[in-house]
Amino acid sequence: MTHLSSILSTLYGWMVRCYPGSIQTEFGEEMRAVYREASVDASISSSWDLLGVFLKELWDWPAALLGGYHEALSRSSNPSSEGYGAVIISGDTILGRVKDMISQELSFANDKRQVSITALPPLILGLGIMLSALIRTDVWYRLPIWQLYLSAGVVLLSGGIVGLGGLIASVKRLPDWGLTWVGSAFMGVTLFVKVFVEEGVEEGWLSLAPATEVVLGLTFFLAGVALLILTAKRGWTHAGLFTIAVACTMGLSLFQSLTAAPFNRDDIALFAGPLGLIFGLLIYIYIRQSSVVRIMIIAGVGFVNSAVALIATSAWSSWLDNRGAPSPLLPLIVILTGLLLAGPVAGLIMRSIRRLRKPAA
Amino acid sequence: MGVIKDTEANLPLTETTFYILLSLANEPRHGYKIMKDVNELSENRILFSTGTLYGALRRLLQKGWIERVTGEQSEQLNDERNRKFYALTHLGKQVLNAEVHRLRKLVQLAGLRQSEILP
Repeated sequence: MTHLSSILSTLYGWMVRCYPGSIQTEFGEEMRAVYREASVDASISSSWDLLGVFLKELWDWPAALLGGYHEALSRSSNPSSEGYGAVIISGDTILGRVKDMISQELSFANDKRQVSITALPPLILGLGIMLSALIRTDVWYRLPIWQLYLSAGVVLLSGGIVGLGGLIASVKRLPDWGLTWVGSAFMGVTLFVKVFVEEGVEEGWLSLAPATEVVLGLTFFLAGVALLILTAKRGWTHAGLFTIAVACTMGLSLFQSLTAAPFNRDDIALFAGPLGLIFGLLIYIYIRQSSVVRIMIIAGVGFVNSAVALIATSAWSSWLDNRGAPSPLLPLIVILTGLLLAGPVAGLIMRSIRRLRKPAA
Repeated sequence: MGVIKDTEANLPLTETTFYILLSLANEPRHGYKIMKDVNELSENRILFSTGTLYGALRRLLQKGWIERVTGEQSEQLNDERNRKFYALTHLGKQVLNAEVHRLRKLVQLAGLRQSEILP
């Protein structure tokens, strides 16, 4: 076997591996054998013919793959169906399939201690933001320096605790209780770095080349996607737990952002404590209840976050109006909701892909 | 009568299906042989990729028009490489016959008007 033939055979092997599991089991080996025979025959003529055989496979591959997945889906929708296109799905079947799709338990749902630990990150962050606002009894430039440091220290401490929890969870290979800690820590660090860089550039004590900024942004984006895929592999409830924590942290950070100049709205930031408690309770219920309740909890978090976005944009409105800038309410709600739903959606997609790729019994 | 009606409901066949059934008409063949035979029958016009070929074979197996050769019949083929052979089923033969019959009628029909079609 020539070097080219060996490379093309390996590539062809990968192409076959992309077919649904049931097709791979039934026909995979046979397809490889036929391809080998065709390659051997073609290589007698010339390397170009050998390449031609592979290119023909590559050209037809997307359509064949699509047909394979369509067939696998049809079979799983209606196992008794013998005809290729004869797929009839009744209402009950659809409901049953949806129930089957979303039903997934979290292994530690009955362990109240672990559930409580899982629900802690938003509460810790919320309390930190609230305490920090309580410490600032006046606008920041009229405060004694110790009060300013203490106030900042409390927020940093709460963020540090969550960050440490996220680090421990990462070192322990992301146990289920650590999903919220990693989610909150990831979002916290992302927002902290963003604010740090923006402040630094604005104040002039930090200078970043545009390319560095792009690399930095891309790094955080890819890290987020990697974590999403990692959690989605465990199922939609796990990935949901991760993205609920991400969305809650972003919601809480909006209250923190209101304490900065020129808004100085410590009065609103005081509500971060109760908000963290609400988020914590929602996470607690999410873990302990059934899948249907979980969906309602996700909707609940989305609703609360939308309210937070509304409060924040209302507080920014006069400042934005003075600058003629449009309201960021809608983009904020879209981002918060997108972050929230990314986990469950990714989890469901992963589950569907895994089912299709599972070899037939 | 019912079987004929069921068979006719599947007509006309796609060109791919027709050629595969035709390839298996006189003897069981393995995948690569079908591929080469169809290429020959179609005068090099149709060259299947494995993806297309096995997609079609899967559909024909599901419809019960072809079957995998197993047991004694498989031993009789005495294939050194132990490849899997496919053969037409009774239903498959009926479908192929019905399609050939349909095509023949079409050609006959065209023959009647041939002088008008071709100058």
